[in-house]
Amino acid sequence: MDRKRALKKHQSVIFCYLIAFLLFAAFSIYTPGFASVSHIRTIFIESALIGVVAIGQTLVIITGGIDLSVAWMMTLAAYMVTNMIDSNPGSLVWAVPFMMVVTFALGALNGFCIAYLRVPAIVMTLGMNIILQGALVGITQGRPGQAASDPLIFIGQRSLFGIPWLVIIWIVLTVVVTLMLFKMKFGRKLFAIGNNAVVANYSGIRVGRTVVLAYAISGLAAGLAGMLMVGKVGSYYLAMGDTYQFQSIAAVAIGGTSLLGGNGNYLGTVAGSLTITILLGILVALNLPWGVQKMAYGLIVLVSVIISVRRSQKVS
Amino acid sequence: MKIKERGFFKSPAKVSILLFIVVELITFALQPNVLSMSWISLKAESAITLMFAAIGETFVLLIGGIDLSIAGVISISSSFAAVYMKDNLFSMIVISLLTILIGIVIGLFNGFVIQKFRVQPFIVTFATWYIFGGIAYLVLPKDGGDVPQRFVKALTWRIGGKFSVALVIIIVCLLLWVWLKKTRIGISLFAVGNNAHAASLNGINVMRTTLFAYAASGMFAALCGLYRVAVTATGSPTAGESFFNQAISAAVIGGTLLTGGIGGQLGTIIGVLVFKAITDLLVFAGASSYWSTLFQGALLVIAVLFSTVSEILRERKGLAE
Amino acid sequence: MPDFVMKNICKSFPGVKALDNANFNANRGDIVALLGENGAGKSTLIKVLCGEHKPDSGEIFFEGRKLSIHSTRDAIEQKICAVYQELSLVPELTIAENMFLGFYEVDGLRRVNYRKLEERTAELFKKYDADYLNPGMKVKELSLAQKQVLEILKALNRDGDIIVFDEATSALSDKNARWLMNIIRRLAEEGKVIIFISHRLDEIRSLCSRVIVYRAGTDVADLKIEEADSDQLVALMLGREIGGYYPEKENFVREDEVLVSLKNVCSGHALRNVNLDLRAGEILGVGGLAGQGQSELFKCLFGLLPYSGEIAIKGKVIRMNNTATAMKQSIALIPEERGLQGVVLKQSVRENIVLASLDKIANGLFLSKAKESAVVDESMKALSVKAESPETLVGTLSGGNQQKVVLAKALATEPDIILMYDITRGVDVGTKKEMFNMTKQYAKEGKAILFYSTDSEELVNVCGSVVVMNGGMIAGRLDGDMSTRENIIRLSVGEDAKEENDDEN
Repeated sequence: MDRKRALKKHQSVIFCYLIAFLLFAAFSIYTPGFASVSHIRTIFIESALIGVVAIGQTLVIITGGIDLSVAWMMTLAAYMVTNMIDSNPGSLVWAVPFMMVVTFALGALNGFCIAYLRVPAIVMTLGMNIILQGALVGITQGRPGQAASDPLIFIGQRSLFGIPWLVIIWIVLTVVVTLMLFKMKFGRKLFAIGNNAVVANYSGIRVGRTVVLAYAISGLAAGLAGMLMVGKVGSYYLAMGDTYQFQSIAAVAIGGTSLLGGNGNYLGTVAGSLTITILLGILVALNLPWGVQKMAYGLIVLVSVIISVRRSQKVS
Repeated sequence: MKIKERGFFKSPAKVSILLFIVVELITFALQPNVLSMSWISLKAESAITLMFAAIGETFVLLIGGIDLSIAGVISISSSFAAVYMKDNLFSMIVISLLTILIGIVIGLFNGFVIQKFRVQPFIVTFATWYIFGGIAYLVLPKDGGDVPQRFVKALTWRIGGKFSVALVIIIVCLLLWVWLKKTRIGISLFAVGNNAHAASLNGINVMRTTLFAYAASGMFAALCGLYRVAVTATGSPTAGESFFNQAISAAVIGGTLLTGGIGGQLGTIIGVLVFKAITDLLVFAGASSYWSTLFQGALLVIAVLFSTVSEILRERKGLAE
Repeated sequence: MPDFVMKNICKSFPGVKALDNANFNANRGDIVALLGENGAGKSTLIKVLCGEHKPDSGEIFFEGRKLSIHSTRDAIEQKICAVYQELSLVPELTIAENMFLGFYEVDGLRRVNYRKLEERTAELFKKYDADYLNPGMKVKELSLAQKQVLEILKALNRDGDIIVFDEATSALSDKNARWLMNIIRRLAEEGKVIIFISHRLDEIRSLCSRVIVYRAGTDVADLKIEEADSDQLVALMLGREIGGYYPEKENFVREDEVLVSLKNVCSGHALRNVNLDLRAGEILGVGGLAGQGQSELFKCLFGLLPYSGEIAIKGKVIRMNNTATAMKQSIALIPEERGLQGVVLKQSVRENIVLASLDKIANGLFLSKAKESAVVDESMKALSVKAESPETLVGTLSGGNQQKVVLAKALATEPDIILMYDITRGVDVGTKKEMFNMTKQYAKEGKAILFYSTDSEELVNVCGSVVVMNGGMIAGRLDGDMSTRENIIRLSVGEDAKEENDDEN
């Protein structure tokens, strides 16, 4: 009985992994190289970056908001751990914590303006994205970036017992976020706020603070992803985060988290990240233009919203 | 009894009008002898695309919504027109009308989904932005297209060698708004944005008003794309990307609230002029073009914060009374 | 058949039967009063008539013709208009624009003819002696009383054949109330059908020719005004006692233990100089007509509304800035709107019950599953919440069980002071009985309870004492034998309480 219920509760997440697997299997038959070990590795590494960005996106979307600033938050973090310091690995000791503090604070600023000053989330985070972009373009004057220092390269490109460090970090963060959502007070508060902020307030929850924290974590997660990405690609370049803005949102949407807020699961987002990466691989293999990808993201969001609406209409 | 007009000090556009005067005074102080009809015509031409985008966005903001899909609509209309328009009058007219129709249909779709399913507008229009932005790439994979010279000439023509077509269009838009504002649908826009429940108690059709606002937004976005083709003599699948934030900035500077019910096109048009004037000033002051993006973002956030914070303060004052 | 007939109207909401075969009729030239307690179904009847709610069944006739009303617009076009208790004005539009909202006359260019609009508005204002209002002014600049006047004028402007006045006098000054009554008389002489809803018996007596009394969603009496004396009307509104489900009253009040003390608490126009003491073991009722500041009083106490004055909890003055502060003072609130403020409908019973007491189920950083199920099991048992399991979504439960979850959530915080706002709204009789027993039990445990109800019968039978609110002030306190339903109503309508000897209860 209990197992049945648990299965039902998680069916959307399980369904999501099923989709990812089926997509993968179907395409493996079509193109033999698709299922090679090295390609599977690549899929996981690519997904890890989307997945880390989508940590914050999941939290923010659960509160009923959205974070469009992740793209340039990533690029900013990448800049801070490469161009702002010299190539001496020792300076990472302060550059990394500094980057984390800055991205966390910028995320918190998003949250503050949204929760306390009533700026619509979409406008605030989009504005933040443009500001960060403008600041970076202005500071670097469009010059190409500097190569990443060795420790970053190590994390971005090496493996432990055949498992890439990126994936290991992703797994650890997945555990942490899942605990946060389902085993800590913070998670309960997020879900309550996303479903009904008034009830949350009437239940003594400090709604504003919780929302600020969610956006701050989103900033931090994007920052971490930016740092990992520098390691993976080897250097910093402008606009390196651009595709992650929509990929992270689509990953959350595919993962069964309601874009209307109040409902969701990071394990679903993990499956969503894998699905997005596989889908991307298929589009590239089929030589389909970038427009199809963009369209697909839009359709994913639209369909997932309509599914969420119908599901919530069933309850009330 | 003398009926009191809505005075200048009650107009939501007053801040933008003052700002406009200040910015223009600075401009003239820095560049005397610049003021001429051809200068004004030039300014109108440089402002017209943003003005279309901002006017469309304002319709949606007035009813309390938001439309991100204008970015997609501008891109798709720009690509569509650049690819399919042939160098003959018939084709130019038909393709222009078709482009506008595409914008209207996308807008109607947005409005229908939002009102029917009661979904937050930002999610729906976000999705349609990507869907139609993606289709734009399929129509025109990269910047280019074959834009008929006569189309370019027609829209950048100087009437009598002085008045640009853009200036005429802006004036026509303004007149249209002055007219529309006093029609039933115009007043419905304000009523729905201000208090949708009260509006429906008075027999106003909220669905129809919502459809109108989003359709208008789509139509003006399509016009923006079309005009951009003429001004730049090329189509682009990314034409719309920066228009959303600029349109929001201009509308908010012009006194339109993001919460709906307050604002209008007069303010928005002046907001666009302020936006453009500040940009020009920065260029004139020698700011490197590398910083222009930062300025755009900062302007968006500052304008919106200014608007929401003053709303909060006004509310506090209301409670204290 | 009378000119206007509403026949066998039924309307249900989830968990509540708001109208149960309700009838109404009136002739042209009649001013008919619709009388009933809060929640008797008057407002629902009006909303059905005006196209805001679709009835489940029933028919409406006017002059022998069956009306079909599907939207508010249909109603207005069929000459039915209403003065709403909650205003239906758009603040950002001008007075003239509001007067004709939705029904503008347009000129050749399809433009609203502003000159004509303002002329006609001015004309109308002159006709009804309201020309102190300037048609070009924005509605947001008006006072509440002026808005009320405007709401009335707007309905008059629709030139309806059937005009509803829903508590139209409640926010008016005496002078404006007299003005309105003259207008209503004039309209009746013109042959309109007037439906007049008011709680003020004196008004009804001086204005109406007939009175139709509603109780529990249906009409229970139809009287000529000359035949109805006040006591009889009050008795009809209250109905015969169903009785039996109230526990015997006992006094657990600890006189020297004042838990809550309010001194000169004011909040905007809603609360004016409220002074109140609440003791341990006391169940203090709060009564009065709807919207006299009761909701605001509860909100101030729970940190949801800014106020001036002092609130002291257990002798210490506390500034209630937010709900967290209030809960730290071991205050719990059972709010007014269950689905909007009380429970998260899309979450499980378990998640809802512990939502307000997350600190209590946490071990350090993490939530303890054991502690959580202990709290959940205990509260579900204590309140006998009927749900398949703790994982059932609250939205799928009946109204009574949802309310129990709200109670369970509040009680899980182990409060000393419980603010109960209309806890039996939309709840079945059996659950009501359980709730009253529990309330008594909490008082016995020494908790202080502030108990608001729209049903004066509950106040009399559950609470030791009752304070009655009127216009944001406490109109009086009724202790012991003085606390009768008749006295509550007397205080609510601005009369004095009197000793009852012929107690028919």
